Amino acid sequence: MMDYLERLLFHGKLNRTARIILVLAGLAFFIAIALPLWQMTMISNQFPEGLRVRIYPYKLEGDLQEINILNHYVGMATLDAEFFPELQLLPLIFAGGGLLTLLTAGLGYRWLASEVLLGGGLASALSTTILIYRLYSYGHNLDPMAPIDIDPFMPPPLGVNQLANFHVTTFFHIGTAVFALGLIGIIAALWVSRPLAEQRPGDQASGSVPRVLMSR
Amino acid sequence: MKRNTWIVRFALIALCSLVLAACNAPAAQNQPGVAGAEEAALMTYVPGGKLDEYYMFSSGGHSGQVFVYGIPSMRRIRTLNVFTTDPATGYGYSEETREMMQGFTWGDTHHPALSETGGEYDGRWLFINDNANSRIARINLQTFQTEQILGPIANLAGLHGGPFTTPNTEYVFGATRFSIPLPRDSFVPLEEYAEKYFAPVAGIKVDPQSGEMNVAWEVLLPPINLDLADAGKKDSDGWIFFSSYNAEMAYEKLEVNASQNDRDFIVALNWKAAEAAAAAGEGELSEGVQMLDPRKTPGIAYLIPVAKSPHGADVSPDGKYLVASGKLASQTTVYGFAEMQQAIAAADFEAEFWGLPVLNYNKVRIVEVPVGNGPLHTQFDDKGFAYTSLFVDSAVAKWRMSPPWDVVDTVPIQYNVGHIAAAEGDSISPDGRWLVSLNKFAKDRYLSVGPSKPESLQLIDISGDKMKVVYDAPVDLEPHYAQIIKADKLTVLDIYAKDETRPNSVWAPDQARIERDGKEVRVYMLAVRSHFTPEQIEVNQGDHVTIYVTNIEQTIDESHGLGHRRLRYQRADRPGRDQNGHVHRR
Repeated sequence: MMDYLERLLFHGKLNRTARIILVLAGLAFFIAIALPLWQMTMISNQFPEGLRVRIYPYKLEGDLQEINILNHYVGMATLDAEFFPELQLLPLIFAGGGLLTLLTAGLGYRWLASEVLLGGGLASALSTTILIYRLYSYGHNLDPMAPIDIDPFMPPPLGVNQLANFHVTTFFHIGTAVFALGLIGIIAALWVSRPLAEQRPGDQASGSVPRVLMSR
Repeated sequence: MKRNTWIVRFALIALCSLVLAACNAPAAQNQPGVAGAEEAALMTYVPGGKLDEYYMFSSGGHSGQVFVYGIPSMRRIRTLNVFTTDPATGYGYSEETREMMQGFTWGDTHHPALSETGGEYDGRWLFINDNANSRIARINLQTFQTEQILGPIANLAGLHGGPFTTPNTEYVFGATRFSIPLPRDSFVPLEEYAEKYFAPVAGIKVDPQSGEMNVAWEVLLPPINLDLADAGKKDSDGWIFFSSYNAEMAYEKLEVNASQNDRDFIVALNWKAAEAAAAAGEGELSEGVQMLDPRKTPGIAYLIPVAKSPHGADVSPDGKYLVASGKLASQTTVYGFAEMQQAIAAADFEAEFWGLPVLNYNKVRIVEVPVGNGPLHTQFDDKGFAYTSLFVDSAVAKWRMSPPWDVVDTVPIQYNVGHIAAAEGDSISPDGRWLVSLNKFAKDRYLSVGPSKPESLQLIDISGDKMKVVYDAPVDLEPHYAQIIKADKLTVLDIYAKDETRPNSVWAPDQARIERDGKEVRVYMLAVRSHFTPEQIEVNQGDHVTIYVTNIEQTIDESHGLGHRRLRYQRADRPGRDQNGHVHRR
């Protein structure tokens, strides 16, 4: 099994279908740059239309001024692009990933596709961690001089909570989905051009997998 | 092929609904606390020719006006220009009204206060403050005319906390919000704010017959930004309670620096003791007014700790409790008047502030009620419930004024309520029928009229267990507080009586005349449908002309106006009324 996995990920080259998929995946990474990754929607009685913050790979957008004015009463930091310095790096990472994916489509090395996949996975994990960390500090570093004292809190990166009079909903947006599709594309590329399994004595234990593969 | 399309469609719908559901989840809920259309219509519809059951007098903020509404129809019946001129009625143009306005062109009305007898609204006068120029006006509720504007009142600055009447209208009180050094307009560096700036309170005596106001005495208080007040009633008659919001005595970056302490103060003022001390000759003259210093005259002022930045202190109808809300603390506190008296008698003080005793909070506090976010102002009904406006939550909370002191209902309003006014709500016997929410924002509730939106009044039915919003009425900028009185308590005059003794009035054509004394020309004119007598006034350039016009009509609403097409002369008389004005062109 491990042996097969090694061949699947690192040995040989990708077929034509896989390369086409990789081109699409690479484009997905580029497209994701222009799309929102995450959104927070705050609805209250006096804001029935809601206040919104969207995080794009390169910018923060939404009702930032209003949210910042409201939040200054409870001493929360000003939410702006400076609050997320990562936003200067994220588009480069996305574009780099896109370029490497297109390069992989051109060169066709399986190992390169695997490395790009690994990098994309790491980038996703890192971004999510950063988001959680930023949200944590947003809810915890409260100005002690603020007019209204509130207890520090953790804004959930995904889900629903109540903050004073606001009903807050957060979720990962379309950009995250497109980015994820890119990663899935790489997996799909590796899969559609997977090597034929050779029966080896050592593979007996993992039985059914090769049989299914051979049936193609 | 067909199946693929379905899959794509399904995926799209799933994606869209994921995004949309997350954005719009709470908006889909049915709005609670709103009466059904038919129910609300039946409750508020007053057929043509029928009259409303209550008058509501609402302040008009920077407009300097008072708005008169009928409840339950929420029809606006009249706008009274108190601190601003009213060309339509000639108010502010005639000599006597010009004199009353003293050249001020605007005022900032906040708190209408109906005169009271025995703790009940008596329908005689309406008092209203001018926060900007520290004035108080008295409106006669027989004629709805402003009869007196007192002020700028000596030693006061920013008369926000006023006028609040005592149960027999012995006094109306006015308090300083923006503390100043004394005498006014003297210079003291801001660094000496805590020691040399003051927030005086004026005890303004009201003549029981004429309603004439006179500043009787004042009390010197620390610069803690006195905000609002309510006079004691029944058990607590003889006291008045002022909320304040700057116990830090901060003088810069107030938003932050005046909000650092967990507690501010309510000033409990024993006005009967102050009156006695003033009569005994205590205190010193300041700007011509007897100023009592409670540090030198003990027993007239005490401080009570309150959750930070309270807006308002409200005495319950039975006078036993005082309710104050810390707008930055999400908590409303109920104090016992008997407990206060015990603490004072036992000298149970937890501290001294500015030389004044601070009552032991734990001894005078009955209960802290978590009513919601941003509580401001409390009103009462006849069933033992209190109603507190929640600015941050945009809601009104109804809670029990007895154990377990629990919130029994909360109704959302649109949006950001400041004050609330209950029918007969500040009297000793509230009616428990209606509550009006005076909202700071209307936003999307009415047809748009550009960036300057109207404010909003919402009528809430409080007769049942659950509150119900039954009507939205737009209102001009911007009401702060209102009072609601049973209409049958007013004795309103329809026509000014024919008074032939009134100087300069003329009641018959043969009395109408033009008198000339050098360059002084006096015209005694009569107005009646559809002519003036005399009809021609011939003058020379440089003459100073005074025109006295008497409207001799004795029929309802037959008003007659007179203006000059180029000179600033304009007036309009109600039936039976006369006014005068000057015309002078060099």
